[in-house]
Amino acid sequence: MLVLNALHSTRNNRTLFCNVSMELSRGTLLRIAGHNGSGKTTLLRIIAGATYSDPGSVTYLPPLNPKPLFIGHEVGIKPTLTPIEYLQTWQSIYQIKQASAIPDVLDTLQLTSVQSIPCNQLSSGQAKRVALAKLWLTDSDVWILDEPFTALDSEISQSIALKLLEKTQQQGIIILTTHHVPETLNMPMHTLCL
Amino acid sequence: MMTAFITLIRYEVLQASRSPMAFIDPILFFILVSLLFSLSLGANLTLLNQIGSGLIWVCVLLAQLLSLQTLFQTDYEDGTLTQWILSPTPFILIVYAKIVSHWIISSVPLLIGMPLWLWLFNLPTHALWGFELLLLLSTLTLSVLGSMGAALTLQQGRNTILQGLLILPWCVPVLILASTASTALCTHQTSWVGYTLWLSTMTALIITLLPVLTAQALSIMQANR
Repeated sequence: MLVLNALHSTRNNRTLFCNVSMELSRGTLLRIAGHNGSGKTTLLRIIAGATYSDPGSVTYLPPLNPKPLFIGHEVGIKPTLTPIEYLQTWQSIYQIKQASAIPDVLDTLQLTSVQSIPCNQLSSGQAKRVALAKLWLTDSDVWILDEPFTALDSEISQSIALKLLEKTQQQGIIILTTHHVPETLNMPMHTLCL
Repeated sequence: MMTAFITLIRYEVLQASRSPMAFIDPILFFILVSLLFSLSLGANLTLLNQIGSGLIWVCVLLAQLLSLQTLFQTDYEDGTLTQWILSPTPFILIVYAKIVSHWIISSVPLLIGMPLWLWLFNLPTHALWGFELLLLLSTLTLSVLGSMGAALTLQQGRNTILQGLLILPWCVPVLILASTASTALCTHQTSWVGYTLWLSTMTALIITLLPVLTAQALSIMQANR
């Protein structure tokens, strides 16, 4: 269970949101909605533990893996590394031991043809796919995704949506922001409007 | 855990080697300044000899400063820093990996270029290994000090002047010890051993203590972005 307790955020003396409390049980998909600048990304960063809420707390109750997978709006891919090298570095820092899986994932995301060219030569959609490849490689129980469907074509959007569906069936918790929901993602979801 | 450390260093150096200006810039700067000095001072060998052993440390310092602005800046801007902080690998280990890779990229070319420097300034060749040792110690110290400066000025963008103002005062002891030791070394005085020992003490202290603060500064900067 993931417990959000009285989360609060102010920016430039303006309150973005306050007193956000919620309990998310396993197998839940939560969509955070709101207009631009309403604090969606900030809320995601607080839940991921990348920034603090004062007051307020985020608790990952065991047996939930306390390290979430956070894929932010910045793709964070190194321009001079190839997709394979980038994912290998990421895996090794996240201490995930299944290196053989990378080629399969790149195949699923139709990246095999660009797997050994530097990331600065990829299109923004391809770069986004490289970042989303982490969904197949991670062992985190909680996925926090900021706009996972932007810049993707409909085919890849569908496979991402299917992957999210599969994760909720495997008792994971997914928290995401998105402006449009692909049709494949027709499953019960909670929506939090900021 | 050590695999993460080594992999990160490997890929940092790989990234730098794909945009080789990161390697070439410090050594180019180094050669340029030394050439300009030796040209402008004229063919006075004794004068070159006298100032050469001190001048090298100023050039090392400035060459290091030049390479520092890129240390954490892109990682901060593209969200990699956030990924690192959220990872199960202790963040301090990642900071150490960044410092070591910065040192490899910016200082190993200088270590290799040392004989050229001695030749340009007509310094005695017997001093080569002493100079290499001093350069090793001082570049390590400067990399660690510089990482602290780079972490503290993250939110100021690529502001090299502010970094310089922050770091340079802390570099003065390194400058003094290294240049005194090298002058003593060139004139066959045994006192250079003492200065070098002091410098190594400082290096050991700074390497063990300062990255903890750098990691803390980076976490705070990252949380407030």
